[in-house]
Amino acid sequence: MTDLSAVKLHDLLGEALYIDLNEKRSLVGKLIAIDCKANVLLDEVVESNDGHVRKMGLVSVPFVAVRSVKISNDLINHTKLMKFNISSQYV
Amino acid sequence: MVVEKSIGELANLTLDHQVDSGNGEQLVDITEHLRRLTAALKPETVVKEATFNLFEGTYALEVCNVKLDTSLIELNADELDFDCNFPYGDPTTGQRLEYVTAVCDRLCRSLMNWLHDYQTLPTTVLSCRYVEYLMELYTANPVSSLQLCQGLFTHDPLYDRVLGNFVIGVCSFIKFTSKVLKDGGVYEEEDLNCNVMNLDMLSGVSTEEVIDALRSSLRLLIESYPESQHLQRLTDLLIHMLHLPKYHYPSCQDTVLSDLTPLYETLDIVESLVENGKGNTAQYSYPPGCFSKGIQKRRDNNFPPKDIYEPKGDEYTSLDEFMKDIIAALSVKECNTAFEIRQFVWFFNRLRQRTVMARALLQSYLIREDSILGKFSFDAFKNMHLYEFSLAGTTLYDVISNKDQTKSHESIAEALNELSYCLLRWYQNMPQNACRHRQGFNRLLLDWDSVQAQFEQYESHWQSMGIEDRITNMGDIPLMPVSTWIYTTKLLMMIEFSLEGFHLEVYKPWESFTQYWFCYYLSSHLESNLKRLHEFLMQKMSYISNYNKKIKKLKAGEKKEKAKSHYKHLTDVVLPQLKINEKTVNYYFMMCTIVKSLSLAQVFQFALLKSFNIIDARTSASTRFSSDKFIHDLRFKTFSSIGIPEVPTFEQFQKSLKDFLIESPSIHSKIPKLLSFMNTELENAKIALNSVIKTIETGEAGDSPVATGTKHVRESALLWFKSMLNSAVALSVNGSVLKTKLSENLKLHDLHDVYDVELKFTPNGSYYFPLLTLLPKHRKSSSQHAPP
Repeated sequence: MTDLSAVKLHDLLGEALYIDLNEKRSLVGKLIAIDCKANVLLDEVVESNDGHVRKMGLVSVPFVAVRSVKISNDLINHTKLMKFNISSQYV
Repeated sequence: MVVEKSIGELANLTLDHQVDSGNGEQLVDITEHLRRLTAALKPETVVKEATFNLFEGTYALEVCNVKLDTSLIELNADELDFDCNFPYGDPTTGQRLEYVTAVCDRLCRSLMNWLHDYQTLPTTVLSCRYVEYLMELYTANPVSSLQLCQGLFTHDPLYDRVLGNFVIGVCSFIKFTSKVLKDGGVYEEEDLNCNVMNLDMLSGVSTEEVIDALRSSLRLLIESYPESQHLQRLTDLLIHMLHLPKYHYPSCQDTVLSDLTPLYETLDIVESLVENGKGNTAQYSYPPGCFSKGIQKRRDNNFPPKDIYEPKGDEYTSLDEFMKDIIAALSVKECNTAFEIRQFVWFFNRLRQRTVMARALLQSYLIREDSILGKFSFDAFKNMHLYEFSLAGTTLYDVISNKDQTKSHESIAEALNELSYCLLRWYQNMPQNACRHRQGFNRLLLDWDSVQAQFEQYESHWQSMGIEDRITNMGDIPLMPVSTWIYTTKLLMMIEFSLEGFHLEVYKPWESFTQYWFCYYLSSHLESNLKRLHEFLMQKMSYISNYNKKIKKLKAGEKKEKAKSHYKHLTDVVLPQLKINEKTVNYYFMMCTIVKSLSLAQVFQFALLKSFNIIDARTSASTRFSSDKFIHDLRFKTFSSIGIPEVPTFEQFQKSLKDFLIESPSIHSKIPKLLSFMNTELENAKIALNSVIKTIETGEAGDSPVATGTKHVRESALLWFKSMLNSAVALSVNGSVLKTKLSENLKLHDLHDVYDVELKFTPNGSYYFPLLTLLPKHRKSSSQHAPP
């Protein structure tokens, strides 16, 4: 299991979220906003629907419609490293 | 950019995409982690990017919501199975010709639904499967010639050549329209929606090649399909419509056409389409699934799903209007004087909003890269405006036209050139849609007020250099010709801005007093300004008439010969222009009379209603957070920095209203006198209007005391002044109606609880003067009346 404890909501802003809506349909977009129900607002969204790929612009995704949300492992590692560097400066 | 990266990634995603984003990146599921993090947020909290405004979020499309998510659009079997490379229809019964004709007919209608009925491309032209298919092919391989393009492949020339070329022709027209939109003058969304869904509309293919392809289709139809008259007409129509880019200056510059023959020929074709009873859209049937919402689901799209716009049957009538508007716009080429061009542009888009293409073409055709109509440089054009109004016969003009006086000449010319920018901005503002047109005055008024202040200084300085003209009969005051012209233009704009507020239904009835009183006030200032100029013109004409007597007194010799030569110049060149300018000033005098009288009539009627406490020039909506004065100042914000004329204060407006009120005792008996004053004003307006109308109708005869400059925009100008005349009559009738209604309650002096007031547009009346109409309290009509 990947340790996600370093990843906070603010770390995800502006980053790409990979969202599965169902078996055929998924979205990738830049996270713009998220609320307390995990409903997200993504910009520059690219949709893949049964192999067909297209751009959709600014999209809101209700969390109830989401099957899974993923981010790249690189982003997690980068976030961890950045936070470690910052904290080490203050210790 | 996230998008480009993501497209590559998504294309490589596996269905379960557990670990790999497609570009080697490991993906980690954070669903539960995200749920936990957000659950800890306070309910009202939104974590967002610092630069993101949540208002922008209202434009977001919500996935899995049928009203917003185009991916949820359901297509029927015909739409799903539609094959652009299959020749639909029975070849033995003529069904194929019927199908192809139907598709082409609908494409033509769809163009009008888009351009004339303000619909979107995805719900009109792009809903055609052939358009989507062929443009997707071109987008994937944007070549520079049709020869290299992949087309339809049904093995039936009706589809492959006729329909294929027709689709190419329609898309080429969309490309041209898109270019017109990008070149300015009209606005995406509010004037026209040009969303091509990221399809490349033949960017590399020339219009000439498309026309050639359509001509070959037409030949094929004539030779092989004699029964295809309607399809031939449609193809010919499209060929003619593709001549429009030749009138778009940015598209063809040096070769821009001035001969309107192809456009008149288009009108003939449209007329035959209308006359031949092709208004019935149900006459032909299409191949099943040929028009579909599918493109909204398949292509890049950041709009919610929209139903396809079905043609209503009046598209060719719309096309007739569309072409006539364009021909009318391009008729600006006939104008020869600055006043004619000014009047053309002022009246062209006045009584009804012209079609978007006509407005855009007018602007690009008139204002070219470095000239007006290819005839006048910008500076020359500005000089023409000045000369045809207040500069002719002045000392300043003598200095400007005398190239020998280099130093003063150069500095004056340089100063005057600063005016060209303001003048062009005025011209660019006029063909805009009604809302943008009024909004544009906000900026224009600042510019013109600023140049007025600047030129008053310049002209004072020039006076100190001896370059001056004084008006003897008015206490020897200076004319200041440039400032006079600037001030006139500015006052006309201020009046127009105020009255356009009625057209756009910006004002509530309670605001009508201040607006009309303000227009009256502005018109009075304009009148005073014109009187100065008129006096100067008369003085100068009198001087020229008497100049001959001076010559006679001179002894023969060089001096006398010089005087004679000067006299000839004055009589041949200056005097005729002064006479024309006087007629132009007379026209503006009449405009003043009309606006003053109609505005004053409105003020009288408002005062009458105020006298019975039915209305007040302040709003009941004022709360502790605002005040009557604040609301008033907000409405007059546009004029807040105007130096001259001084804008009356809120208190001054309120005081003026009091001066018009009638009071008890015997309040009812005072109504006739008030109405009598009002009718006298209206009679003045009618006399002025009839005079202007007669001048236009008789073609501005030489002996006419007025010059309207409307020769090339005659119909629009006539309709405009007749609408004003109708309003003058309607205002008079309305006065009587108000009197009757007020007299129904003879014992009451306070009718606040009895009546409400609405501003209602009169049929065929001017939208600048809606009537103050009484309605029984609490029984207001729910629907707003549309402007005539």
